[in-house]
Amino acid sequence: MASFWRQAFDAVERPAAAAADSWVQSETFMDLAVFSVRARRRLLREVQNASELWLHAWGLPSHGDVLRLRNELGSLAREVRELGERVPRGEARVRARQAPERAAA
Amino acid sequence: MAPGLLERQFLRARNGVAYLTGSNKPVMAQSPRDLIWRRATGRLWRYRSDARRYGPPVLIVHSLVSKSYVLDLLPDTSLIRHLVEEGFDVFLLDWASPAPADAQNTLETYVDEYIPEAIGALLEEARADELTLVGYCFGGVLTLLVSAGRPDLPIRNLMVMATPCDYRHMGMMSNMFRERRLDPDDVMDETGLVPAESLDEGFQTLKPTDAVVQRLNFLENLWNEEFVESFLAIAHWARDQVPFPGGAFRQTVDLLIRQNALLEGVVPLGRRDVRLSEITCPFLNAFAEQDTITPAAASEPLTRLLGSQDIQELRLTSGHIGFVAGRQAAKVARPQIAAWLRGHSEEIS
Repeated sequence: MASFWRQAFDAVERPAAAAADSWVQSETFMDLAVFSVRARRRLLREVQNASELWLHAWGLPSHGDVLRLRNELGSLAREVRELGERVPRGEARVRARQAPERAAA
Repeated sequence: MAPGLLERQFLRARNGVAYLTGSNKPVMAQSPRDLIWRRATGRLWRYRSDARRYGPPVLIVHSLVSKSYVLDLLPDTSLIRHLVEEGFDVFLLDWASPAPADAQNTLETYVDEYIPEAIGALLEEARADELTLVGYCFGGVLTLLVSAGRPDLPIRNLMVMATPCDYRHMGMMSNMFRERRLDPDDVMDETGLVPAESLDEGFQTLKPTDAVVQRLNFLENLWNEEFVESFLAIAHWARDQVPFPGGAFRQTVDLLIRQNALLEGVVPLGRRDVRLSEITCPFLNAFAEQDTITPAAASEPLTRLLGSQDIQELRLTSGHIGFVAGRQAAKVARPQIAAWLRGHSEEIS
């Protein structure tokens, strides 16, 4: 059997949980959540822009520069990977095409 | 026998100190396995066993948003270990954390490239000509799309666990995307991935008071070492998400959330329409009634959307984790999953 303090907690928690569940489904909460997501992104962008200006003034790389580099490396890595996958497939196709020719010769 | 009051206090103090110093961190995913195939983030593992009694081999496809060690959490609460001990040849296809190079991966990348290629590697490795496909959570969505969209693959049976289909029941985050309050780009970072923290925040809002209740359960059972180990393992996994590739995320929002395409039974993929009614192999739809991540109402409709003649439903009274940990997993989920697999396999010599 649950202890007295646990029973007391559960008695309070159940209605509180139900209220919290319906609160997070409410229009107000969703509006606030959207506002918070967008405000956070905007604030981050503003801070990054400001710090970029300052760092560039000193000839230093900024977070944006590192990110651009990371994205370029990412797409390069993807291209290399795709090429690496295409080469063995191409080789296999060439081998398959040459096999009957070799057999005929 | 349960320890007395004094002994409990002592155990509580000892386990509490161990928790605070981090010395009782559980070791997870201990089942021995070999990596047999790898492409980009996709990894195919085969679990070692000396007692494989049933065929065809079983391939479990894991979700894109969480880590696969939940399926092999602790030796006593491991779905994979249970299946291996039951005599199945178990493979796991999971996904390493995506890098910016993987941000443009789409659903087609998984459905038309990685999974079929992994299936090819599995068939070669196991010297089999067919397999049973099992999908967990979003991995279930991928297995449904593969089964429906690739009729050339030798899928003998299909099972999905905690797999969403009706996205109207997927909670607040899903509702915000459906009502177009949020766009996929709002939650993506500059590399084009949806950061793990955004996913974690989304999961936390599904049951806002849960964190407090879980903490309290932990304190109440701090004397119980078995509970503490299991609790710490689950709590660690629950916060250990992986980033979601932006390309696949955009499609998830557009097709699965906004168009609710899985519930409609037709998912436009690549240059074709994938129809769930074209899945005709035996099918098990397993879901949990108290699941707050994939509510039962989101999984239930799958049972009537497929074209299979042999369709069964496994309804657990637990939560999302009830397939792998807890009393429900040990007494109901694992034995019934194994029984269904056995009933749809044959003994091999």
